[in-house]
Amino acid sequence: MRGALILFAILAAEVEPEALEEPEMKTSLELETPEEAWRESGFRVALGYAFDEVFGAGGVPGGAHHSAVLRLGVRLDEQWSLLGTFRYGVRFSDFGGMRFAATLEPTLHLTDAWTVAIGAGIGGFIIGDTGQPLPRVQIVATYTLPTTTPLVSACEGAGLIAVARSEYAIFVSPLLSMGPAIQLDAQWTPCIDQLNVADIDTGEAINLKQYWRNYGLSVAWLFWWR
Amino acid sequence: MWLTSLLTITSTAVADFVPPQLIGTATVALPEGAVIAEAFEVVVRLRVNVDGAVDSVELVRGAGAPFDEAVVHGTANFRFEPGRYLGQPVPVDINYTQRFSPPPPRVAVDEVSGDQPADDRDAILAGTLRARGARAPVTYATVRARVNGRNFETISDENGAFQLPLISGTATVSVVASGHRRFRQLEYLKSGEKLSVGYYLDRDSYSPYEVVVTTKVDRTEVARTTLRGRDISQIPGTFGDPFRVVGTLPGVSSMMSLLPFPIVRGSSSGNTGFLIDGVRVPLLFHLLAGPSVIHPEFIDAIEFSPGGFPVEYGGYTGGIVDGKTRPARADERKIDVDLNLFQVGGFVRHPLPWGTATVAGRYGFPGLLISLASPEVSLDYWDYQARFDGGTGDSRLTVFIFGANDTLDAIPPGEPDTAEKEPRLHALFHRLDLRFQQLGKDVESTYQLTLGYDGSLSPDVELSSLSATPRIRWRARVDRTLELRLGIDASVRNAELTPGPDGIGAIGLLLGADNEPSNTLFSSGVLAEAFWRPTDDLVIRPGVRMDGYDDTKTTHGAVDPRLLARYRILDAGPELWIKGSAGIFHQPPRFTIPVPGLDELAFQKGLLESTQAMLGLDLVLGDEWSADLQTYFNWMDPIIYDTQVNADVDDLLRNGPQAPPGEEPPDPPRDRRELDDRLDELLVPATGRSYGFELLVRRRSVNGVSGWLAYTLSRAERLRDGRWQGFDFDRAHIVNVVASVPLPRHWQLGMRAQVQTGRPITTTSGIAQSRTSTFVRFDLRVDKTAVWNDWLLDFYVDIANVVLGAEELAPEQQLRYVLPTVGFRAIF
Repeated sequence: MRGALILFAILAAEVEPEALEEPEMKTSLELETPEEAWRESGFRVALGYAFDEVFGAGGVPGGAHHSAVLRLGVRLDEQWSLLGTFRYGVRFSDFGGMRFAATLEPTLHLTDAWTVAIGAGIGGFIIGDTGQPLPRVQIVATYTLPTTTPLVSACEGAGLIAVARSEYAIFVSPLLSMGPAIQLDAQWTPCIDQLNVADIDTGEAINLKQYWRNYGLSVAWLFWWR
Repeated sequence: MWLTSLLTITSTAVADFVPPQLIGTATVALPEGAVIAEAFEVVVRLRVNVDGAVDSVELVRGAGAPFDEAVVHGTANFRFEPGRYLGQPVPVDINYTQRFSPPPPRVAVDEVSGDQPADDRDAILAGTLRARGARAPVTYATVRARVNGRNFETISDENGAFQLPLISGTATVSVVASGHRRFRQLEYLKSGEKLSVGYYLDRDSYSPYEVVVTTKVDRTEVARTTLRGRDISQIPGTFGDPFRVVGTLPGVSSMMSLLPFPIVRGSSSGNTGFLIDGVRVPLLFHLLAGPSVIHPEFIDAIEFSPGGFPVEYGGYTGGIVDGKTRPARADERKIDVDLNLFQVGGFVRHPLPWGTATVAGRYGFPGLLISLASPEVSLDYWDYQARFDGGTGDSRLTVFIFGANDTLDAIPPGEPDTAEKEPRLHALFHRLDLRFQQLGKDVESTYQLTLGYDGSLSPDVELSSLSATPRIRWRARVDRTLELRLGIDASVRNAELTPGPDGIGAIGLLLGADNEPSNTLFSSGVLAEAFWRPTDDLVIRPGVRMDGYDDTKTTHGAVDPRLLARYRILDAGPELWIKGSAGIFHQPPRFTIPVPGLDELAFQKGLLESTQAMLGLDLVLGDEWSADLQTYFNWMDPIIYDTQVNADVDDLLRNGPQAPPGEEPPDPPRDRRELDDRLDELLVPATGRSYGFELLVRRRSVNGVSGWLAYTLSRAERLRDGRWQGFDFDRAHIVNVVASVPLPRHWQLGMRAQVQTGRPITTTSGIAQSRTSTFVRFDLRVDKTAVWNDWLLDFYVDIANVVLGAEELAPEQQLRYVLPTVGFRAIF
């Protein structure tokens, strides 16, 4: 009975000016820990920077690349995610160029923070000048060089790439995390050296072609958003 | 009570149409005693009258009693700001979806209502619930408090307010509302205290581009596709630019995928008109791969006609791309700031005592990215817009000022890479558009005057022009079935050409065979059209326009009769229309790519003419799906300034393609001939034809996958040496698939795939005897909206050609590119 009386007294006090004041608006407290939130299934995206050291097999050019990384995908369950990564690297050397890759990566969550992934996809180069002189050949149709010696003077093409990666996450909030990643990759690229000529009978371009094999070691730092 | 509401009105929109805006909160009371086991929806169609009230409610998709009755009765009391067409209130049908969701799992509750207090409750928690970012009240949410192991619960009312008696102590308050994320907060209540609180709840879905109400009015258009809302603002590969979306529609190919010069149904790119509210824009896109020159927030809809457009539009023989701006509401306030890798921009709209003012502008610095690929080139640009919307209910005054400036610097040819960049091209224009509309009961009048300045500066020449374009339109409703549309167009343009230090150069050839361009061009036109709708199933639009052009030396005239019609052959369930158009179209010669100050050229060559015919089907499947199928035939005679790049056979044979051993390969054949020869060819009148089949299948959904599939099967040809041969930019197959889907936690994912087969090239067998390779391109866009209490922050990544598909521009020239951007957009 005492509670009811107090309640009626409070209700009666509604007319008082202070009761009509607009209260401070509040947002919700966190409903789950960052680890719990990141364990949930759903869509997520990461942007980051990667330093790639690329090695060429058989005299193929390599070099350091500074790359922008976009990774997006779905956390399927507590153990698995399916991610896709787009990586665009600028080659900083005497002759410049670009390396790119788009890969699909099933990812295993060993712990909340630690993942390993393997994947495959499309990878390629756009290198306008390899530093080699234009091959002294006269050809009337596209010719594939059987070895990487001599090297074509330019390489433009997309082939296959396989990646293996390990990544660690530092959970900042239920919506944001970040962390380092280390990645190994192997790339096979059918390079086209455009000679800027075409077969006048067929209209087909006349190029030099050469197959490159490259291996890469990459360290990255990514910011994740879910 | 677990209700959420969703307003969608699906269908095509028309020009100058402002859809109804809901006033207050759409609330339908849950039927008393009703139990909801699982979620379901009830869809009704509302007729919103000219006063904003609901005239009638028709059940479209029910769920049975008592929910159907509750929705029908509840929605009948909704109030709207009425839809307006050309500023005048019009009745509009809209679809309303009421979603019923089951309540959250029950817990043991001491009391569920504040009306029956328990004896020991000695405090009150009272407050309001609002949606974060939008501040709209959250209605019928369950507010639950747990104090000392006891649970208390109540429900917010139609204003989002609640009052929950409970015992004193530390209360864990949780709020659950359909369409919103769960909420939790801790409150301490002393005995005898009434604690007032306000809670922000995050919605499940936010989109700064969301159009709550899109519209459909009567289907009267024949060949026009209208896109608005998410369909023009978040399409991957467009960087949010509404005009670039046209490239994903049927009938459109391009000279090069990066460049916004569309080839519409086989016509030269200079023959398609780019307009803002009917006003021709001399340079709609900034240079290279830049965005359009109008801030996207101004654009309400993009209307695209690949051909067969009505007499309203004169002076074009290709397609029409008309960006429709949205009149500002009297009380509208908005601040929009965006920043990405290419540009920074702002948009501010604020009411004034006599109307609403809007200013916007952008500064572009694409040179940062361009320099990675082409360090010898730099580019920057800016554009601005200022607009005033005023007037009363019966009259509307609009003053719109806009303009743009592009500056392209480059290292001169032959100079080393370390040389200083010099100005290569400077393009500039300004427009002042004054418009006054009178909206009578039976007569609507529009009086318009557009003043313009265009200028271009290159090392060879400086071009500038001044123009004045008055325009008058009348619409008179004769009776319920017939409307007459009359118009007068006029234009006077005065151009100045100042040769560079080395003479006029090649530009003189563009201006005409006699190299003595006229400074002044007058044009005038009258148009009349009957819009006749004898029944709800039939629309017939016969019209004619007559245009005259005079450059003080030569006079040309043209008469363009046109007929558009559509007839509904099926109205039970799916709606099926058959439609067709036929007409004649004229235009003055116009250079193949837009250069401010270089509009109409070589006038003594006469007018271009095109005869177009189209027959199609329009299928509407429910509220979300539609399909549009068109077949067309265009006869173009003559064509001047045709878009040509291919060599002829003689050139090919004259210039051997092989490189001598150890030497640099020769230049591509197309560059071999003297520029003068090639420019001269542009002035030779040509004859062309194009025909094809176009399919557009669209799905429009607020919560699900939206997008379209566009397929074009076409053939564009030119008559050369008595034979029909493929146009240089003819592409047999073009497929575009555009899809976007909203995801939980305010994500949105978009994808575009494009496949276009190769264009003709020349071989020793003749012109157009072979083709370049098929081009496949994928674009990707991801949007994330972060919600703050009073504003939204949209973060986006938009990448064009994500896997660097190779585009073969010419047989000996292949281009791989990727165009990425990362941006932020803040909306207050």
